[in-house]
Amino acid sequence: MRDSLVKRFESIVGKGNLFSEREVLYAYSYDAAVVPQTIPELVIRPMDPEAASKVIRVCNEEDIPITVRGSGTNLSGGAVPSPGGIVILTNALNRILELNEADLYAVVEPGVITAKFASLVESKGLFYPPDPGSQSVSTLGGNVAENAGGLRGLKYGVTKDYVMGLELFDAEGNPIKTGSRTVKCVTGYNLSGLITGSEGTLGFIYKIILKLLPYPRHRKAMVVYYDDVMKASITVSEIIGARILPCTLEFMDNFTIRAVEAYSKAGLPTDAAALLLIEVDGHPSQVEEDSLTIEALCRRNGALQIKVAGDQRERDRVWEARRGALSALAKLRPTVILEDATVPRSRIPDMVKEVQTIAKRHQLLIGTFGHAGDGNLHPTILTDKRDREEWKRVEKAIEEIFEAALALGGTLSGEHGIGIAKSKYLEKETNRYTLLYSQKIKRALDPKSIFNPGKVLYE
Amino acid sequence: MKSKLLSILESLRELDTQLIQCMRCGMCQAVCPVYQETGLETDVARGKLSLLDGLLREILKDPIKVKKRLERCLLCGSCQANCPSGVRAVEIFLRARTIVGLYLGIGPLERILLRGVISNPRIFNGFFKLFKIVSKLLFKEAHPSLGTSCSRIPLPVLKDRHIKFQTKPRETKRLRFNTTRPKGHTVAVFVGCVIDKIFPTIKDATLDILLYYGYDVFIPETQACCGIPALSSGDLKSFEALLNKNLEVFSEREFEFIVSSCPTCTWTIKEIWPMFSKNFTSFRDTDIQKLSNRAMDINQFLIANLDLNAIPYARNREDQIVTYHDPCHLRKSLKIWEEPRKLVRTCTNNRLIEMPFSDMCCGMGGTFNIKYYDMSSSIAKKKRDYFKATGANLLTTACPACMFQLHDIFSKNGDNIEILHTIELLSEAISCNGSTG
Ligand SMILES: Cc1cc2nc3c(=O)[nH]c(=O)nc-3n(C[C@H](O)[C@H](O)[C@H](O)COP(=O)(O)OP(=O)(O)OC[C@H]3O[C@@H](n4cnc5c(N)ncnc54)[C@H](O)[C@@H]3O)c2cc1C
Ligand code: SF4
Ligand code: SF4
Repeated sequence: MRDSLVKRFESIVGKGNLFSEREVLYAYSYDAAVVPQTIPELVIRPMDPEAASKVIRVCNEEDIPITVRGSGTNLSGGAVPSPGGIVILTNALNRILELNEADLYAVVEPGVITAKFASLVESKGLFYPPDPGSQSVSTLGGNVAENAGGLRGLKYGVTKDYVMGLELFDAEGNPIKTGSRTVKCVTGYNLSGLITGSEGTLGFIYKIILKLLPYPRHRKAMVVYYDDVMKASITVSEIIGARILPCTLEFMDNFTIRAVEAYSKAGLPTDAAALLLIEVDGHPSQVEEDSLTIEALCRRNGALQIKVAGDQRERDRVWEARRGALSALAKLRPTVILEDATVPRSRIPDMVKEVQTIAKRHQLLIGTFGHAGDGNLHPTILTDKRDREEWKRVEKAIEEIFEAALALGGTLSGEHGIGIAKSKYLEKETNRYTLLYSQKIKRALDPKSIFNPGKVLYE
Repeated sequence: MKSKLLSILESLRELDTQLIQCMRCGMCQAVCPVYQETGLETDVARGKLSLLDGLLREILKDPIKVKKRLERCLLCGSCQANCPSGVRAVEIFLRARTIVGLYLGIGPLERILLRGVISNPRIFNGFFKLFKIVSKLLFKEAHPSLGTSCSRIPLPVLKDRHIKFQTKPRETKRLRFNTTRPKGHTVAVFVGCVIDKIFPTIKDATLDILLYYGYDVFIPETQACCGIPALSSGDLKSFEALLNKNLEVFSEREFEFIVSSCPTCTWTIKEIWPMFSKNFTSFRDTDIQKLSNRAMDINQFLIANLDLNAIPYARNREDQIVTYHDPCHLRKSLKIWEEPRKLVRTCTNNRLIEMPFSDMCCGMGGTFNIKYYDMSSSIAKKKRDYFKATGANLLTTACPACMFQLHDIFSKNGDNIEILHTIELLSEAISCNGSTG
């Protein structure tokens, strides 16, 4: 990058917030996805939104691609810099600007860490439900940009259901305001809806208004084992048929159960074909009643084993297996590919079967766990990216998993986003016109394509 | 330079299988104390591991710059304890430091300190005595009850440090031996430099307790440093010399256990010695294993072997509110956190109040404190805030290095606080029992 340009950025953010040493740049060349790395030209950390706006303006003038980065935990390569581009960090924009207990909303900057926010909110007796597995490190800006989900999707929805309004900079660095602090707002287009999940391709989010709920007064968890995935799936349908919406309804397949047991030696039944982790929350008497109904349903559907948590300690134990799923799988092989193909929830048994067939066909290790309540599965491929031959089979398997999900009426990605990892499959799920429509939006809003070019849309 | 780079690459390749374990998930960001200070990816384990990967793949070409980045690390093991993928980050960092150190040498100051002073117990002792004399001229008292000093004149290296020089011998009487346990069980004690030079009262307390419970104690006078400062500076040669010395002196007698009141020493003996023993030919792997297998933290040893129910609480501390700080190497590396708490509860009649994030690092990290004092202090400041949140006035912990760091931060703030090792507390409780001679 030209010296004069670097000087210009430096005059905006100050020397201490501009990084150009090769070692530092290299450490921003990746995110959590298994995709090729790209070393950025510069890394810039604005200390306030105004500085970010100025940096964006210069980039637009000079045709420099921008990749905004929260904590870099993206699983689809969206936070990997675009070639020739710079990275703008949001982690210095990390203030909670307002927490309004009367009107149940909060206003935050994008660099606030999800779990820190959630626990502050909780300390006021309020609730911010979206809880992606990465919440201890992910940023709220990253969550909005990815429309992150989590374990509570079925009952509480995902990040988009909590975004009341946004403020962002467009490609010229001008401030754009969408939504409001009110529950109802129909002023103009629903731009928040467009920006949420746009993966950093339509603007730089610098302020977020988030909806809050009262904290549920009571909750109860249980873990249930089955000898057949179908039985677990029927139980899920019947729970919902009984007009109960558990806040958590998680699934693990036999491969994952065995992996967890091998690692934790907690005494899980390794011959079980499926595990369901079910938690209900709400008013204490309702919770107790629902939990009894669910228990009965599980039994009627031939559950092998049911463990209901009586207190917090037991709850932790019940949750242990599910919490340990990813790390137990991750330890088996060096490379971990966490997919998130999603199907209508009644098709979970078919999808699990498909994944198993694919694993067998390509002789790969694939463990599947995920969110049974909303059909969002995480087939997790365990491999070693250094093994070229195996890698080819992995690529084939990924493609087949997508195809299977689409054939079952599902989607490519439930929550991890498209990024660079899945952009070439986008057209398959939708059609050419949809892609063109999206491209037109992108071109109109960001004519020079400075915001995260090459992500989401295959150009 | 070229050939050196090639040699470094060759050695680094051995780390490849370990490096590839990192799935770049970034979960270490949640726990890395350095990253939480700076928010810089190069400071978190994921970033450091990626730099090594970059070096290995020859995308990064300057090992010195990578080494500098790797040094911004407390070796606290928080990342490793929290890593879903089981990456042995601390081992990788230590190995990488020694590889770079081997081919590019170590810094001049480190060379003098590690090879000239620490590697040679006699010189180390002499050096320390001399230092104590000079320090009288240079320093003035800072916090009378904590017993810290600060520089009379502003000096760049010392900054605004409040230094704990050496604990005064305790006024309470030494313990009288209790003969409830038959003689014949021998326990070796690994003292460790920080206890020996700065907190000799912890050594006294450790000895007293072991003797009180009827153990024969073997404590070789010429035992050497455990070697971790040398290793973390990349100085494999000094590390080997120290290991040799220790193997020699501890082979003079038979014993069942080797206990230490310094968790970093215990961890080094238990995990780091065997980890590196294959690098050397001057001694046998099995000799190392023999020591490693017997190494125990003092808290762990006491809880495993003794009945503490007989001990009344330290009555002299009846009106104190007490909390406990988890030393990283004890909790995260050795996975010991119940035992010291049991001791504290026993000695305080169950008056232990947990502080928030008791397992958060204090920021000491050995040489880290010297190289990055401001960052180190800023981490310690958070610890102080959490301590303050409890309303406690007695802070217990089980590591002399943490204690050194905590003395600095609390003294600088003029806090009314006492800082004790769990073992000091226990020996007080026993003397309250009237068993003193
Ligand atoms: C172990 C693990 C578990 C995970 N579990 C889940 C899960 O359960 N559910 C789920 O949905 N995801 C999950 N993820 C994926 C990931 O954590 C989420 O996508 C998260 O929202 C990313 O947040 P981040 O702060 O790391 O953003 P980054 O990865 O830094 O960025 C993500 C994208 O958002 C853009 N972006 C970030 N901030 C802004 C901003 N202020 N303005 C505009 N664009 C911006 C970036 O350019 C990038 O395209 C998981 C990841 C890991 C590693
Ligand atoms: S937590 Fe472990 S696997 Fe994840 S980035 Fe850090 S070191 Fe790598
Ligand atoms: S050892 Fe501690 S300081 Fe070093 S990278 Fe890991 S968590 Fe950070």
